[in-house]
Amino acid sequence: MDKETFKGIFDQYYEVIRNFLYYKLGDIDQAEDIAQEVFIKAWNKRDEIVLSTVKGLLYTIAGNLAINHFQSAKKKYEFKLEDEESSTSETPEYHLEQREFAQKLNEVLDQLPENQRVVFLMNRIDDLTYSQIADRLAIGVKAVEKRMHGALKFLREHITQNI
Amino acid sequence: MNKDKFIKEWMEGAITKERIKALKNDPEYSEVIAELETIFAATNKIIPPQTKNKAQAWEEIADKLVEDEAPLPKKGRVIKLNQLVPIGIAAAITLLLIVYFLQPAETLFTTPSGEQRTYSLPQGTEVFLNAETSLSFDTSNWEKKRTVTLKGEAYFKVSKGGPFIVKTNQGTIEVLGTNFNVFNRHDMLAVSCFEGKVKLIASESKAIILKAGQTSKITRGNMDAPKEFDLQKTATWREGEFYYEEVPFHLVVEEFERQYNLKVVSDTLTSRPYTGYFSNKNLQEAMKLLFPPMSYTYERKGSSVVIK
Repeated sequence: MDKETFKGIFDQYYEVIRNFLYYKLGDIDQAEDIAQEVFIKAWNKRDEIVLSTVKGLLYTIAGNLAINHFQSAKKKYEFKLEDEESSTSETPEYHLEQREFAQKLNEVLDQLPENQRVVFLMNRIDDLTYSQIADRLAIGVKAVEKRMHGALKFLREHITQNI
Repeated sequence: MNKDKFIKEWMEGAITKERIKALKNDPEYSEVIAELETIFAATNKIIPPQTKNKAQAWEEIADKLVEDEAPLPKKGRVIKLNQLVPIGIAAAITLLLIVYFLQPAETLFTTPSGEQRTYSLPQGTEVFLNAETSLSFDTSNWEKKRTVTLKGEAYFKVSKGGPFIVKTNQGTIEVLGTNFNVFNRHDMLAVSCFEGKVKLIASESKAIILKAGQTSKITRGNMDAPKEFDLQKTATWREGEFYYEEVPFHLVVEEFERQYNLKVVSDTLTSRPYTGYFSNKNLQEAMKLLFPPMSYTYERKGSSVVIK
């Protein structure tokens, strides 16, 4: 595989791999570093790469690297709301409200068990279907369903109470 | 439909607003709908932070990705010896050698619906296969005779060397080190040349030369004159993007089916020309871009899409 083809793979998957690591680790600096490391490792295996299985390989490498880094992580979610910064026409009070809302949401996501958080966010943020998630995490669709079910239950209880 | 299935479909965006609205009055669903709406409202607009974008991340690692100086020629990716159980190795080698010597080394690459793959051919030629495509070739005399047989659609990056020949049911393409796309489905063969020159042969007496930026097609023996094409919008299937200008709609629908591994069900599928675009990365968007402009309503039902 040449570099141009590999760049195509990078362009297609860098963001979702970085997101996946962020969902796990809650530390964006670390997620970005490891995401780059994932692609360097994948490049070293380029002779074995087939396009149809490359995403599974990337997620596997990312998952393994994340385990090694997990202990030292300073975990704190900093998800933003999409229009938090862009809309200038809103009042300062509105922005404050939005920020407070995001902060509470981040706290709730932090408390969510890792397995459930990853599955939930891969669906909400990366727009992946259950079977796509199952494929990437090398688990069954039933397992995805179960984790999603757990995530929804947890969020339902905490979002209505706290936010 | 049970509740879990309903939740799954909703989370995957595979359910219409009308349907949710209708189910709201159903006491069995009203609660779960209210809960999901609360969760979606809270999480719909969240985005992860980032300190650098994709291009910057690539810049930072690009230097570390060193290419081999002379890539080794590769045989078809068929069997790897190190994956065999040790005890079977001797037997396997014997078997492989026998097969190798007794038969022409025919290699077949195929892609199923919903998948694209890239393969290396011997001597550094690369080929990208679109969904539902097969490519076969004989490696035994490859140095002298680089000939492949194609059915479907493929993009070739041919390394320098002797002539490279692509055979299809509608004609033959002969090239000398170049990049080109071949689309060969039903009774049609379309070839677009991106770099170098390509010779398109319909029969012994009918052949033309395509230069970079030119395309032509053969339909049941009839060959079109070469014409210029938009480099940005042709053979972009490798990036998952499909552009059409005045293409019979049923052919566009076929590509959609191949990309998403779905069946489109319709009583009245039109052949009216379609001009537009879809991507293979977002099903909801693709359906929106394809069907309403052609005055169809659509509904996803399991592995099919019903259009009316």
